Amino acid sequence: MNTRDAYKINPKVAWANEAKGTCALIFSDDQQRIQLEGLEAILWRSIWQDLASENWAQAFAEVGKDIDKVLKDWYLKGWITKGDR
Amino acid sequence: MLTNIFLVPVKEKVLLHAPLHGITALINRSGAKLLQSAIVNNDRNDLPRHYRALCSAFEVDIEPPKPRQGGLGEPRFLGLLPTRDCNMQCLYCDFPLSRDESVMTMSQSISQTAIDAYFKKLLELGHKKAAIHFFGGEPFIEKQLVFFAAEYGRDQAQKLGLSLHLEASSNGLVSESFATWISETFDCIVLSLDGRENIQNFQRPAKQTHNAFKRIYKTAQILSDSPCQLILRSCITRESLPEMHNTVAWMIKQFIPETICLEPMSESKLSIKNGLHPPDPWKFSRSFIKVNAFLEELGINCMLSTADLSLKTISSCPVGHDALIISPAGEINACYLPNESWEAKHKDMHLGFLKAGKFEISQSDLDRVRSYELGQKPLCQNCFCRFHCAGGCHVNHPTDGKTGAYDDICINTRLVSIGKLLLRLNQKNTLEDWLQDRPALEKSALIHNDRIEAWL
Repeated sequence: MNTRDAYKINPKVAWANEAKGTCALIFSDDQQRIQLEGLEAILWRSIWQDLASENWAQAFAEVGKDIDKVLKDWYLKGWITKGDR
Repeated sequence: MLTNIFLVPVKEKVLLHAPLHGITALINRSGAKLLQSAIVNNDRNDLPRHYRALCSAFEVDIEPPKPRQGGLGEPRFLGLLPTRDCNMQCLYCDFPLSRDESVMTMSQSISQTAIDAYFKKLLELGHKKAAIHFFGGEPFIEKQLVFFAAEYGRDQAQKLGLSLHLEASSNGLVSESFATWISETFDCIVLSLDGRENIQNFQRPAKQTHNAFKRIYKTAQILSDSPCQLILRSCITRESLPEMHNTVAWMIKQFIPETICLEPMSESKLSIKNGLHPPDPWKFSRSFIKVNAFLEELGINCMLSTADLSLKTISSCPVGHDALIISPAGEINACYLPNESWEAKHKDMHLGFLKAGKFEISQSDLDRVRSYELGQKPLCQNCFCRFHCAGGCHVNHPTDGKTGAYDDICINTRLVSIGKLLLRLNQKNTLEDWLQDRPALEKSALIHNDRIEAWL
């Protein structure tokens, strides 16, 4: 589970880009709404566009965040799935 | 000292245009003579009362714009050239692939360094508004790079408290998903679309995609339905000119563009080889003005780049406004054309390099680029369009010839500018009469000296 892997957004997740670069994820089962901001929103859009996540590894590291941990978290929550590149 | 007040004959009438004063009027010939005498001789005693009021507006001396001086000022924008390559092969393309850059792609690190240095410079200068423009080739074929630069730029701008305008010039041949990202990320896209399927696919075929029109149409729809400002740019050839009005009518039926830009094709080796020709300037201008009137009623801008009456400038392009355009290799230039294009015209648009996270630009390079301005263009000295068009492209439009020896670019510019000014004055009948009178058009377009001092 790392940035070299390819991911896809789980088609079951409803989401939208918002103004100011945030992403809103809406879960139909409990109508929960989660907002991704900053680098996490960028990483989400990067997966949406089938682009390599590793381009953002350094930016995450610079602000003390672990991109692999974020990807693993999303994967375990079922927001993203493994894809092909 | 010359007044920068101009008089242009429009049939029996005279168009008075003082761009720096912001005054335009349609007057008669005896009025023109009276005004000339009053202004040149500084004697207003014999003037009728209503002309005296007009004349008093000219008493305010307005200095013409001057080239920038000193060190690097606020850059008009940061330009990024992700690649010179393109996924289309337009039959008239006059954009030569640079020797060194034909296969080169800008690295992520160059784009990041350029954005960081640009934002730093803006903050040093106390400015809060940033703008990044993407050019090509076709910038969006470097999807990864453009995605990185745009998202990184937005994120950093937000952190630094800067507002950021993102703009790109594109052919629109991208996937639906990427077009959606563009529409949600960019503020403005200049989309090249020559017309309906038959014109577009004929003049602008893609390298590998059959019927690229379908995808480009979809991109235009996505942009049109988004908050992103859509500017449609159509290249008009002699062959497509008869369809220009229909093309524009189709565009506004299909999309919601903020501006439709109609540019006459420039002849190139490729266009000659492919049997495409520039439109006749008299026919082009007539058609343009009619389309302009039609679009104006609908609140849509109709643009010819050399006839932008909102400009009061000595350089109508980024050159001279300290815009910093970064080549795929990281060179800083003032112009987005490849080096070979400037060198062929004995111009040097090179400004410097990105070095150690900073813009390395020497004063002499900055001064040289700033010297490519209207004051150095003999052709334009006495033209009423001089502060709008500023001689057009510093590289591709020759302006060192005899003053007033206007070429086809000038004829287009002059006629379209007159048409736009008459529309602004709501002189539709005069405009209609003038457009139908070829000798009158020639008289308006070809007169060598428009200055009030030269009026006969």
